[in-house]
Amino acid sequence: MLRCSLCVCRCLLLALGIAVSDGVAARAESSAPTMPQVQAAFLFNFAKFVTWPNEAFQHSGDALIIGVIGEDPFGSILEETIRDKTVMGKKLAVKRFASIQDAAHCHILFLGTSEESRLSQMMTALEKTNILTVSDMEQFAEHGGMVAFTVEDQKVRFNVNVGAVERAGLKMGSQLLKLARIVSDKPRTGN
Amino acid sequence: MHAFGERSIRQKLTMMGILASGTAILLACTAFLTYELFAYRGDMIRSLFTQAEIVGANSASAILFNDEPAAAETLAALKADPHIVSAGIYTRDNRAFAVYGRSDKQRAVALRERFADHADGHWFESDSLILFRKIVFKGETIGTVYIQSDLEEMNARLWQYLVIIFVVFLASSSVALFISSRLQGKLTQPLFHLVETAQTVSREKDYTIRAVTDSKDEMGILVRAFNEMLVQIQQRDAALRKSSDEMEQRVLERTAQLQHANMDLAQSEERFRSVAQSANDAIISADSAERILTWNKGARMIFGYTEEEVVGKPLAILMPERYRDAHRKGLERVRSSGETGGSGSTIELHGLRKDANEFPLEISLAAWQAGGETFYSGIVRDITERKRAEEAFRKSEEKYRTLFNSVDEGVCTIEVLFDGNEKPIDYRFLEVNPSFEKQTGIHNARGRRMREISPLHEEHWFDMYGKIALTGEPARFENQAVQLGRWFEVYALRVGEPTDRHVAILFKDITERKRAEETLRRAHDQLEARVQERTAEILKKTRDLETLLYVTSHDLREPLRSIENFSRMVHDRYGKLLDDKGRDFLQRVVRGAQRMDQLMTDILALSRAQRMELPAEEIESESIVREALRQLEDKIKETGATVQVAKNLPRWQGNRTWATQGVFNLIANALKFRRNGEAPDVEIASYHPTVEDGPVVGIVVRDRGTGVAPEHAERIFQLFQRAVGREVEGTGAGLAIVRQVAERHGGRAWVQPREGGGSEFILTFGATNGSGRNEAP
Repeated sequence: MLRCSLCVCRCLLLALGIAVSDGVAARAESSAPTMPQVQAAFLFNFAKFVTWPNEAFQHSGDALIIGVIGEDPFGSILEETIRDKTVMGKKLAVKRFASIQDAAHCHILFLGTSEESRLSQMMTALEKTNILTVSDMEQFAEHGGMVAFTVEDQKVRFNVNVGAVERAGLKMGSQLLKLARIVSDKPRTGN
Repeated sequence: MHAFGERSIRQKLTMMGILASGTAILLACTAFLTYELFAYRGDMIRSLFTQAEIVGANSASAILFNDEPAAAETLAALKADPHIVSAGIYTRDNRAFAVYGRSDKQRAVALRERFADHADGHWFESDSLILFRKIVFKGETIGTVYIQSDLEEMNARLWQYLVIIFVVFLASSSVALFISSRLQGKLTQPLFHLVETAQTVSREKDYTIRAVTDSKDEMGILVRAFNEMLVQIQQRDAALRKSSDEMEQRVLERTAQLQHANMDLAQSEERFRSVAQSANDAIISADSAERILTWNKGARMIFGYTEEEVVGKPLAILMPERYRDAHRKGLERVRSSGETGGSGSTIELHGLRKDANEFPLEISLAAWQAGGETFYSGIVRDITERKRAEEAFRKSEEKYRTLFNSVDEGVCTIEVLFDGNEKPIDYRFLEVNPSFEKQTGIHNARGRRMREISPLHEEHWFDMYGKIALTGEPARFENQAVQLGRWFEVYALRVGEPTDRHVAILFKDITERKRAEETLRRAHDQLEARVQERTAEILKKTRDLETLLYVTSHDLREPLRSIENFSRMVHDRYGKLLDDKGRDFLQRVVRGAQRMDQLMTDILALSRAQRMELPAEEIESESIVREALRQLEDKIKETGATVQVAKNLPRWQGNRTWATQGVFNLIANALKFRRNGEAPDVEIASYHPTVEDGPVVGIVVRDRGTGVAPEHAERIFQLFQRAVGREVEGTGAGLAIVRQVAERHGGRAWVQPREGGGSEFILTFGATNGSGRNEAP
């Protein structure tokens, strides 16, 4: 009897798995996912591990907005990643911002590498917001960014600046933290 | 099973106990074990499940962020559980994301094999538990956890349990064994006792042994039943013993009896031989050819032949010619009837002695069969003498008969019939002579019973004849048979044997004589009656006279007294007025009155004496004599008399007063009638009565007085008859009184002359109580 139910389960799961993996596999088109895909997935996943204060959602309704500012490496990938997904019961939306001021009401903000030069200004602008800043700029985390993508051993990793997270009034799950390399603010030497 | 069956009860019980307890324990343990196992498995599954969950949850981020090392690290934490063989995390697309294995080999195994088309679930393989669990993070399935755990712990647990079970089993078995062996004693001990007892009983055949029990359970019942059985066996045994003893006894007795019988038989044979030899009768036996076989002494005596002379000779020589034919026929008859061994007939014949003399004989023949042949035997008795006696008897009988028929008196013989109590109730006439009819008037009396002939015949006849029949005493009597209307003078005597109850009666009809006697008697009676009448009349007259006498004298005394008294008074008071003559006249009057008074007194006394009652008082003659003498004291002194009183005066019953009076009178007379000038010489003695006097005692008063002339001897005892003149005082009543006293006491009074002069007055009294003549007034 166990065998039977297993069979059924297996079928179901298989079906589900296929369905699930379809999305991922389709995007991949080949066996390994691309950097943007991974990052997009990470962005989406970050949402699962971070807790925003309630005020953060006042303006957005019940949607969790992932914003992109600067150079957009994702294309449609991000949209595809978040399509029909919810996180903590909140819909996901992607917005692109041209300027930092526009990005005040998103929850996760990806900064393209093109904005590296304006980093400190952006940081300052984002100081009083509850936005999780993510970028793959170098030394992003050390410069006040919260999550910085890295690559180690051909794998996408990330650094987390816990202080920055805290300053933003966000809480990050230990589960996430334990995967991350913790970085602390480098003392601003100016620039 | 055989082995089981052959073991002892103890062992069986023990084994059963152990088996029972062991089985129980085992079952219990098995149940617990099974439960435990299942529970444990459940626990294991749950634990593993939990671990998978934890691992999954912990590795969610790693999966999401593709951090395989991190996932592996998480998995590696499973090392803490030494029983987890391998584990793995698979991505959504069933790619092995991270693996863990306790050893490198296992890791490899995990990698290779567990490529999952395995769904959520768990199962047990031979040595491991495998669990798959989806990793769901925030509502989304992101992967699968796989854990494989070995079953060592479970197995270890299992072994532990088994060990415990084993130990418990052993322990409990031991305890069970212990308890069982202790307690079974309760059960087996009585059983063993019974077994032992039974064996003992069986071995020693001693049925008095009993098993003991005090329990009420089945063993107790069994033991009691066993005992009961023993009791019965014992009883049976005893009975059997007794019976066998009795049997032996009986056999012994029977044997003894048989021996006795044999002895008796031998004796009997011997006896027969001696009887045969000693018998006076001839005992002769012959074979079928009528040749003489045996010849006894008696035969020799009767016939005269010796044994040698006669054995082998034919029987015919023993009888006269003329009988020989009949004899042969007789033998034939006997043979045919005697074939059954029956007794022969007895016939009278004549025999022929050796000396050719014929003699009458009586022979009884018999025959018997032996070995197919017939033998004859005969007993021969010489009846010459008998014949002679018979003849003599016949002659005597004839004489008797002649007498019987011709005699004038009636003669008959009767048989007296008695009832069950030997009381004679009737008699039957056996023989009557011709005169019987004439004498009695009864026809055809022979064979008839008296009651039949004369139903009203008096009982005394039957009684009398019955008595004669029983006692054998002849009787002679006269008696009447009213119904026949005759008187008989009978002489009856018993005849024949006492048991015959035959009585011969000789009798005569005496009716006429009786009638004459009757008439005479009647006349005599009439005369008697008349005499009686007359006597009664006379007596009555006498009585009247006596009464008159009494009354007169009694009544006359009073006036007499008056005469006397007053005369005296006149003499005393007025005597001086009178002259001598006058005084003398008065004296005479007084004396006359006195004399008359005395006379009256005496008559009164006599009259009283005649009417005297006799209270029976024991009287000592001596005492009354003494009294009389005392009363006469003055007179004795005056006359100077000598009185001798003898010793041993009689004693008798009577009236003291009158007896004294009688004696007084006699002594007074003796004193009075003395010889002139002489002092009286009186002697009082006992009188010895003669045979004619009868049963009396008496006193005799002797004197040497004037005596009494024989012609006066009677007269003086009569009232007022005196043999002397007036010169002697006295009324003439004294002796009359004496006689009266004597006669009232059943005695007499009389006088006899005495030798040498004087008289003897004798006074007798009845020795017992003097009834005398009862002449009541």
